[in-house]
Amino acid sequence: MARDEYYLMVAGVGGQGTVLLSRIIGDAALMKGYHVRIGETFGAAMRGGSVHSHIRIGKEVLSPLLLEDEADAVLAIEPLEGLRRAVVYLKPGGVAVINTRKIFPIDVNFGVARYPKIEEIIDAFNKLGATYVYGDFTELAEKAGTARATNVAVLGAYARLIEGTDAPFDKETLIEAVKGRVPSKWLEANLKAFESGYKLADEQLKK
Amino acid sequence: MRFRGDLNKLEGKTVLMLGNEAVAWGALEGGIGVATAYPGTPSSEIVESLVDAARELGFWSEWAVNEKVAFEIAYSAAISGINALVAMKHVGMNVAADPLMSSAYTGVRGSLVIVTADDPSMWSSQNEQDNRYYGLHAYIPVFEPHSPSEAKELTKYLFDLSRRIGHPVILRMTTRISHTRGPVKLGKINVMEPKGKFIKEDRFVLIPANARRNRLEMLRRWEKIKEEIEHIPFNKVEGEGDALIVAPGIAYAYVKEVVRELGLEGRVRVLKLSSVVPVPRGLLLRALDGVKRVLVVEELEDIVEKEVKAVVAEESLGVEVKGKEIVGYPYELTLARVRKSIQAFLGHVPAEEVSKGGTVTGLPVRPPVLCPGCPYRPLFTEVRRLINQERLSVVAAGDIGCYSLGYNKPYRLQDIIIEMGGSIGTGIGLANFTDDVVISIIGDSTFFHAGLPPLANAVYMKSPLVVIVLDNMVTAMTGHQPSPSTKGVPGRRYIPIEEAAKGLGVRFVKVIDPFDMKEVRKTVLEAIKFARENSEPAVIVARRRCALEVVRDLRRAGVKVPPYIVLEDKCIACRLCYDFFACPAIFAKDDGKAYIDPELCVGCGACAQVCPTKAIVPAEKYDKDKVESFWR
Repeated sequence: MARDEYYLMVAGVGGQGTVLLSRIIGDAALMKGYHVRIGETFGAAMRGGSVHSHIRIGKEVLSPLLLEDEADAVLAIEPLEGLRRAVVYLKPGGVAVINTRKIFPIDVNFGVARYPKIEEIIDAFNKLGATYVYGDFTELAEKAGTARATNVAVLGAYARLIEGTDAPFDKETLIEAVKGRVPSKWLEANLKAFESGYKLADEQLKK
Repeated sequence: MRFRGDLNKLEGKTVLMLGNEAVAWGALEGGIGVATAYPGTPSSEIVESLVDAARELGFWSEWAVNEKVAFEIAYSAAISGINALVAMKHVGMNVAADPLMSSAYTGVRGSLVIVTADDPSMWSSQNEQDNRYYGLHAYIPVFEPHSPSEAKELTKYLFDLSRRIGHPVILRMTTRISHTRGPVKLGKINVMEPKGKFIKEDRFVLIPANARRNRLEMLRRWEKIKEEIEHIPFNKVEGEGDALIVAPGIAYAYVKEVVRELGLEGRVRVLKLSSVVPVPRGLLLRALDGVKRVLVVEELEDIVEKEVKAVVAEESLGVEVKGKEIVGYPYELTLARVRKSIQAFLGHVPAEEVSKGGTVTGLPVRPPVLCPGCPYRPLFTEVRRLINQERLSVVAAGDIGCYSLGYNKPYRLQDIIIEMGGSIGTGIGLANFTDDVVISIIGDSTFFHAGLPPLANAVYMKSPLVVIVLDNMVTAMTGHQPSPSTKGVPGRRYIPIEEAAKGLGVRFVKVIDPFDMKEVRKTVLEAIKFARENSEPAVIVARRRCALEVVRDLRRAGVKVPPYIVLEDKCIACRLCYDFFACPAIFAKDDGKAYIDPELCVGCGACAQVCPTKAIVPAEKYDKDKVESFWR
């Protein structure tokens, strides 16, 4: 890593594996010999609320939370949550992976709030100056065997997105970290989801 | 990480650990024999981990019905020579405060490590009380780590300190440490058998004559503690300069980063403190030597700041001390807040904030909601409907648990939430001193935590109160810890809540299925009538298992449950199912007709009752009886 420190934000909805994904990334950072801090915000420990993890990687990191405009990368397991955090934390020129599969907050079900269109969300990422890939990673995970691997499909796309950058990871390390965290029963599906995510990003970046 | 498998094999490894897990591991290294708690965010993972570890390693760890009982169990172990830990969230310490105060008077023989997990910013709590005050109040020293790794080391050390001095100690965690992951190097496990010997001594009998003697002994131990903390490696002075920043607990993590970021190393001195009550006076004086100005950066109250000001005044040092006037009192510290404070203290002009493009406003918020399949939803829906239809003036005295979400629209059935068990106690006052129909709504675990004494009081006082116990048979909100309301815990006895209520003398006790909305309506109306006509409490136990557990068990058993669907031609777009029932799996389509997301639907079928045209049906036939057996 060219710089001393590297910061990520993982955002999603309770039950989507946000915390697990941040642990996988944390493990990968440790494997690379870095120090890491993950600040988790899961509030009242209930499902369905917004969840995000602050990940800080470096030689010696102490604070568990990111500053505004500090994140090198935002991984959005859910598009609205990704945008919510990117607006605050993504640095200009940062990278993002956006899963386009929406999960509606309850006010949207009632019809009292409007969920932004995916194009609006993508447009907002453009305005943030982000380099990003997007797609239905939940569908990729389903095809790989389980929708629960959505988080790992997003990670696969991230692995492609950071190739040739100063990010502290590479594809192999991230895969190793997935292997260390995912139960063996679901490993095959997760590795498949990772590759599908990687491929999707590869195709988008080549365009 | 889960504390499962051969834990001894992990010695020497560095793993990513939650702050709470680090405390648990510190207890394993420190010689734990007994660990207990009542769950509460952000503290739950400590004893969650130790319950797992106890199975592997042969010490004792289990959940208790409330923090007071947990404290008493740990305390009794500690005065029998066992090393004990009791954990609680900050407000849990209020419940345990009575034995806490006495424990410092008697002292202990083994270790008594009391962990409080405070919640600055109130991420999942009713207040942000600063439990360092309990240390000052009770003459119990308070220690605060700045990282998961230090949390482990500190815990291990505190077991040793408590045993050596024969005094309880408090480890104060906060959400930001409890729920932060960092690398922790795991040391050697050294647990003890939960077997002690109680030696009879007068000091354990707090009658006035003994208490007076104990008071003097306690002060003597306090002096020993003051000496001890002058020399512990967790406190230290770093850097040089004529400005001093005092950084207790987590503040050190932020201060150190800001000092580095602003290039202040070598220009300011930093006093890192992990022992915050009492503050080590000698070390503080050394840190103050040659210093002109001091900034105390601490979270929440000005406890260390007051101490520094007192020392500066007593020693006539003429040093300027700043703290809360710059940093502010409320809410947790952040890196940005600490940076701003240090810049203000040093007279630096902060860089102008650059606003970035593409700022988006008006994004819909995402509050937590009752899960799809939650047994509370049909009950809340029906109670709200009957209140509206019967035009009843109801006050719903609420409580702490998942059902606190009943405060939200469309149910609006939590008019008061103040503390655990408060629904019944406040219900008594409201039922006696107002004309409203009063319904207390409390969960099963909360009922055993603090619902029994007020229910006895309601019976005794003949309060016309309706108590609905939402019994999902587990402490759901904090992660499904067992309680006396949980069936099938190996070696433990299930206590049916209806039996407890009858035993206390309640004469109207009915057990209902919250999924049966007709039964809910009928029973609640009966209970209101009974309470008013007889001027005495009525108890309804609404029993059905937590949907999260049911879905998990169905999946494990390989039982497939189809989602429910909306028959397009039958739906009349009446909005009842999404506006009034409000399951997160049910949406309004553009034409106002309902749509059920098959990904979110757990197939509980409760919504089918709400539909006036029977348009909600299972997607395919399934064995309803078999599935139903999982819900009971």
